[in-house]
Amino acid sequence: MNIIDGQLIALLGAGFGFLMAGIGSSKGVGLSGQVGAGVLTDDPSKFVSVMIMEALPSTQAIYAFVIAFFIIGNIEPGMTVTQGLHLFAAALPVGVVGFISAIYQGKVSAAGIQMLAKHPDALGSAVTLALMVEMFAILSLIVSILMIG
Amino acid sequence: MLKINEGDYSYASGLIRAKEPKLFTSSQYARMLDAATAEEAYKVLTDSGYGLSGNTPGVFAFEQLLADEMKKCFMLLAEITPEAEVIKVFQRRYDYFNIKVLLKAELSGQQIPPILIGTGTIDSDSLTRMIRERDYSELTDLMAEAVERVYDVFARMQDPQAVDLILDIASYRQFAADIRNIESPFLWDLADYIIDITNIRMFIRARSLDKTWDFIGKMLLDGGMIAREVYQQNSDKPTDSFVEDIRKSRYGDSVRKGLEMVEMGRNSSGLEKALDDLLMSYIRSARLVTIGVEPLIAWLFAKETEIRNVRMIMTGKINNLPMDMIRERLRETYV
Repeated sequence: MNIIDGQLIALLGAGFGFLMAGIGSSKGVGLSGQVGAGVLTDDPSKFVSVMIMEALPSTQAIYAFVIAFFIIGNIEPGMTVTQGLHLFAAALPVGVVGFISAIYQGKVSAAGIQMLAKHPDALGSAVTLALMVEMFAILSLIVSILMIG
Repeated sequence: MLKINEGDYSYASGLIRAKEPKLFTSSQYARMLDAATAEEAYKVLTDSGYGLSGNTPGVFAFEQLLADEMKKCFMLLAEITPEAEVIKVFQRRYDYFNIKVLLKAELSGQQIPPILIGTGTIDSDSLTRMIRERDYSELTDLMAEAVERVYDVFARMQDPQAVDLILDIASYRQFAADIRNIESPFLWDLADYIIDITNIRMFIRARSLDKTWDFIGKMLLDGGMIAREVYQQNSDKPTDSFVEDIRKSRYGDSVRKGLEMVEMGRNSSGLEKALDDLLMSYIRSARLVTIGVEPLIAWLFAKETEIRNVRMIMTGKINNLPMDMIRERLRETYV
């Protein structure tokens, strides 16, 4: 019996995509969270703004979760290796782009939190700047969805 | 070489950024300058949270308030900085100041004056004991070497100025050596700026007193961007020749503007101010760095500059000096 079949490859794809985006989001949220803790030590009244900024890099992991969900939903018994590779490939955009964009979004969020420490009214600007990076994660989500078909 | 992992500075950078809006801006300085009395100007400081909590010495003891504020800054930085050495590099100059005070008192057979600073790496009581007992175990090698040299030179020359000279040069050498041990291009460049600025000031002052290379060569600090030869070549020429030679360096404009202010009689310390402002413009580059040692060190410099400005204003207020004169001497702020 062949150990590597289409089912396993598809499952690996779902796992890989989520793993990458999950690590990226953890790094991004972790970084902005540490900077946020520093700001809150001096001024606890900024908690809501800091929390919003800190949460932004977590969306990449959510997108990868959605794709993993779709991939697992598409797995069928007796899938060919080609079909499995097809689903594996679909996990790559959301996984790889999610990993990188979450880290960079974390950096932008951290800088945004520092900006809010000086200009409390600039939440809109800080969120908008961080959302610029989000766009690439959203595009990677759409590409992954299109590839699953 | 001490490696800096920027990620370790996330919390500290966030906290310092939140502290930056509390730095004095021109409006606080204006309030102090426009205050009718020294007491009113002093109130601006106490209202801004200056000093250690629950301890506000009176207006005539404002130096104590400023010393407490500096101590508070170093306590905060020591608490939040992952590598203590990064902050100790900037604290050791206060150790050198204390050593200078202790040695001068000892060599002149006088009581130790109550001006020891509490912001060094070694607390003043321990340092007093170390100097008294000739126990240099907790001093750095350069410190111990400088202390030995002071005893040696003083025994031969009996010149109190030699104490200042030896320890000032040793302090800068210590700073330059310590900073090169930290892997941070920002700090390395900062060291270059400080060494060059110190050398330029010393050179121009020495030339105005007609000192020659024999004296200047001994006083020059190693390092910096301006080569030793530039000073040597100009050591028997008028100051203008030196200013022309460094015209194209990053110090050229500031030196020219500073000397112009002195010549026009607007500000006798114009050169010092112009060079301090140049250093601050370099420090301001740290505003673009989100996470790292840069925000911390920049805040420290900003705070030191603020305290220096406040000291000028308070001294002026107490002595009824014209405020326009003080205003012209104030250093540029970080924020």
